[in-house]
Formats: sequence, structure tokens, C-alpha cells
Amino acid sequence: MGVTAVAVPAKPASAALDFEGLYRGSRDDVYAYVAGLLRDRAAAEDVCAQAFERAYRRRRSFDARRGSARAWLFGIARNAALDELRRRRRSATLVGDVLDPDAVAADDAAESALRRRVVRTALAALEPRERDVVALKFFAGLSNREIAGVLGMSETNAGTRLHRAVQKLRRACDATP
Amino acid sequence: MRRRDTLDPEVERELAALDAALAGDPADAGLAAFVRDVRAERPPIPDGLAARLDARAASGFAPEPASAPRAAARRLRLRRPSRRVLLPALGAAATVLVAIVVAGPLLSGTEESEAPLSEAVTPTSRSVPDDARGGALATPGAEPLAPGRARRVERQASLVLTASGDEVPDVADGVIRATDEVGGIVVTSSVSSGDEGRAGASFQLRVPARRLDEALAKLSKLGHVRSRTQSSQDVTGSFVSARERLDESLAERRGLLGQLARADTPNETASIRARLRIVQAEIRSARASVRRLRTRTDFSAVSVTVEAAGGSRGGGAGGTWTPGDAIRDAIRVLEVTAGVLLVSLAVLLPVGLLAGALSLGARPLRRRRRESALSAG
Repeated sequence: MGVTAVAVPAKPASAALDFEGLYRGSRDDVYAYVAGLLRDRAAAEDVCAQAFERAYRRRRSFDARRGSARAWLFGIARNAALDELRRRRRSATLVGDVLDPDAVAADDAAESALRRRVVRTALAALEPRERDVVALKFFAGLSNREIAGVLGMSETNAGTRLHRAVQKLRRACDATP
Repeated sequence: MRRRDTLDPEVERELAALDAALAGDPADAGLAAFVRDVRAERPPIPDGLAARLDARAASGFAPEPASAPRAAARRLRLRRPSRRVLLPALGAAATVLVAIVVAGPLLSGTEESEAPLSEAVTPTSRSVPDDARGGALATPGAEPLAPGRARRVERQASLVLTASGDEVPDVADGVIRATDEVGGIVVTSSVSSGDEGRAGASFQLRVPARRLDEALAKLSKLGHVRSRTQSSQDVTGSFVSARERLDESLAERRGLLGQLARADTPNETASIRARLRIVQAEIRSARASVRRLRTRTDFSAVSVTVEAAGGSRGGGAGGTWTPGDAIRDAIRVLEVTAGVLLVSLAVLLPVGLLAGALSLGARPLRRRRRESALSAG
């Protein structure tokens, strides 16, 4: 779905951060990342809205010297998602998956459907930390440097984690008939 | 030992290939297919959410209209402020409390306590019966007196009267007149006239001890009595001692005079005369002591101060709130303010340091807690 032009009210103090541009360029990516991490459509919607709300409220605290605006926004979204995961753990709520491996449309071509099922199964089998970094890379489209900023670690460590997760995911996809 | 912060070349190469595949480079067909498959699983944003987000973005992400339970929760959050708000608030409250506790006595302790408007009488003065004026008294703590010997009690009084500024001279005249009427004397007097702030008078009187109450009654009628103080001191011991010393010296002088009359030799005469000179000096000293004590007990010292009305308000000696009073008050306010600030600083500094340390410690803790959500799966 395309992003329509939205006029976010401009604030003089936020001149350093083009929040409107950031919102337009990241809206779908933030949702994709959060949904991929949480694997819960309803919770992902709430967390996505919450992330933008928090980011807008804290837009003055953005410091370009500490990283890109997208890394900053995804850091906020990740924190909101982790808070949701903790809440969920406390209330022991079972959630539905957006990446349910069996939820393949019936009219998909057989081969395509099979491949998607394999990938979904492999994604579901990843550890949450691995799924986190895969979602940041594949769904949000962040660079390794930005991922490092979001995760609060060095670019080398972020690259290592990403590499391991991708290797594991590929192995899982290749291993599944 | 410090770890090298560089990626393994193989890993670096594979990550670069991944980035290329993500960018659409079909160099590695297998990787490109894998990337395509994974990206196909990218959850698309629901239309409803996109529209809602756009609307909220347009309104500056104002809080959503809350459902009933959410509204209740929000109200609850309002009632229970966050720690970020609560900690400084508690710190400030504690500071104010400590400042009040510390500065309270400081403020009240340095204020001069003003004598009550009613008569302020020392306990000893009230225990002295009226019939003791210059006569037999039963002052607490006094030594037992031999029968037939009168007690000697020194009495003093202090009176502060207030009158309007233009009445001060009349009151001053009345003080002198009342002193005359009771047979007393004005030892010193000082009368100031002028505006309300400067008018006033002060007197040091001596009035017969037996007429002290009468004198005080007359003086009290001259103006509004702001304070009245009486005290008494039993000096019987000193008086008896001086009297006995005098009697002994007189007796010795009589004996020496008899010896002088009977003296035969010049040496004996000279010796007796020398001794007589000494005894004569002792007699003079003893007589002066007796006279002084008698005067002190026969005449009571009365101090009378006349203040212009309103003098007590500004704290000045005789009148309204003057610029001098204002300066003194301003200095006092500054002193108290500085004291409160100092106490506040003494409380806030450690509280601030503690809060800072807690804040520094809380950040990584919060981060670890969040990350633990990923560990649990």
C-alpha cells in the first residue's frame, strides 16, 4: 500500500528532524517490523501507533549525531514492541500469528505456496533475537549501521548477529523439503 | 584483552552479498530467491491502520479517543504520577519540610519575646506581703532573723506606658507629679518630642519603699500599661553584717579612746592613735554600707518608659515602622531566606546526587528488562 502525503503539524523546535518525511518514509516499515517481531496483528497495530506517538512526543530529543532518524524511530518502535512482549508475558496472553505457517491462501500456486510455508516455518523457528534482527533487515530495510544503532551495539556485533540469523534461516529453508 | 572490532572477512563478504541481493542485484541467484521469499513474508500494513495513522499524524498524534476502560486507566495514571514526577516532588516536599523544621526555631527563637500587656511580675515580688515595706518580711530563702530585727528588702519596679505621640509630654509631667506626691525623687529623666516615631520619655525614680504600690498605681493611670515588672531582693544579711561591723568598730573606738586617755608613754600614745585611724576608716566604710543599704531598702528604684502609641508594631523604641525598621526587617528576611536556601541545598544536593545515580543505574536496568522479553521468546 502506498503512503499518501500527510501534513504533520510542523513545530519550530523540530527543525532538525523532518518528522513528516520520516513518518511518510517509515510508516509501512515500522508496522512490518513490529508485526514481524510480535507476530500478532492486533498488538502490532497498537504498538505501531504507540511508536509514532512516542516518537512525535520526543521528536525534540532526536540528535542526528547519534544516528539516523530511521534508527532513532525504529529504536522507539522496538522499545514499544519489547514493552508489549513483557506485558504479554506477564498476562500470559496467547496471541495469533500473522506469520502462521499454515495460513497460506488456498489459491496460491502449489510451488509458491510450499515455498512460502517453508519460509514462514523457518521464520517462526527463529529465536526472538534472531527474528528481531531479520525483521529489521528484511522488513524494515535498515542498513547494518542503523540496526546497530537500534540494538544499541557496535556495527560489528550487529553484523555478526545478522549473519548468524540469516545463516540459520537459510539452513532452515534449505533443510525443509 | 581487547577484542578486534572488525568482522570476519567471510562474514563481511556474505553480508555485502545480502545487501546487494536486497538492493535487487541478481548476482547470487540462490540468495536473491531467498531474499525475495523472506521479503514476501513482510506483513503489509492494514488499510484501516494506515488511514488511522495518517489521520493521527495530521492531528499531531493527539491521544486517541479512549474507550471506557482505557479512559479509566488514564485517569488512574493521573492519580498515580510516574516516578519521574513523583521523585522530584517528594524531594521538594522533604526539602521544604526540613527547611521548616530547621528554620522554624531559627525564626521564632530570634524574635524578641514581648512582655505581655498585662502586669508581668516576678515570683519574688508577689511573695512579698504588703506589710513588709521596710519592715519584717518573709522572703523565701532568707535567713532566719533574730526576734526584734526587721528584714531589709530591696524592691525594684519597671513600668512601660504607651500614649499617643502628642500626649507623651503630659504623661511625662504626670510621672514627675506622681513621684512628688509619694515623696519620691526623679533621679534621671529624658523626654523626646516630635512625630510619632520619635516621641517618648524615660525616667529613673526613687520612691519610698512603703509607698511603692501607691506610686505604681498612680503611674499606671497615666497611660496604657504595656508592661509592669516588680522584683525584690532580701538584703537583710548584708545589712545586719554591715551594722554589726559598724557596732564593733564603734565599740573598738570607744575602747581605744579609753586606752589613749590612760597612755603614759609617747610610743604607746602613737600606737593607739595609729590604730584609731584604722578603726575610724572602718567605721566610715561600715556607715557608708549601712547608709547605702538603708537607702536601697527605704527607697525603691522605679524605671518608667513612655512610648508613643504604635511603637510596638514596628519594633522601634517609640513609634511607627520607620525606614530603619524596614532595613532591619529586610536584612532579617534576607538572612532567613539565605538560611532556608542553605538548608534546601544541603538536602537537595545529596538527593540530587542520589537521584542522578539511580537514574544512571535505572537506564541499563530498564534496557536489560526489555531485552529479557526477547530471551523469553
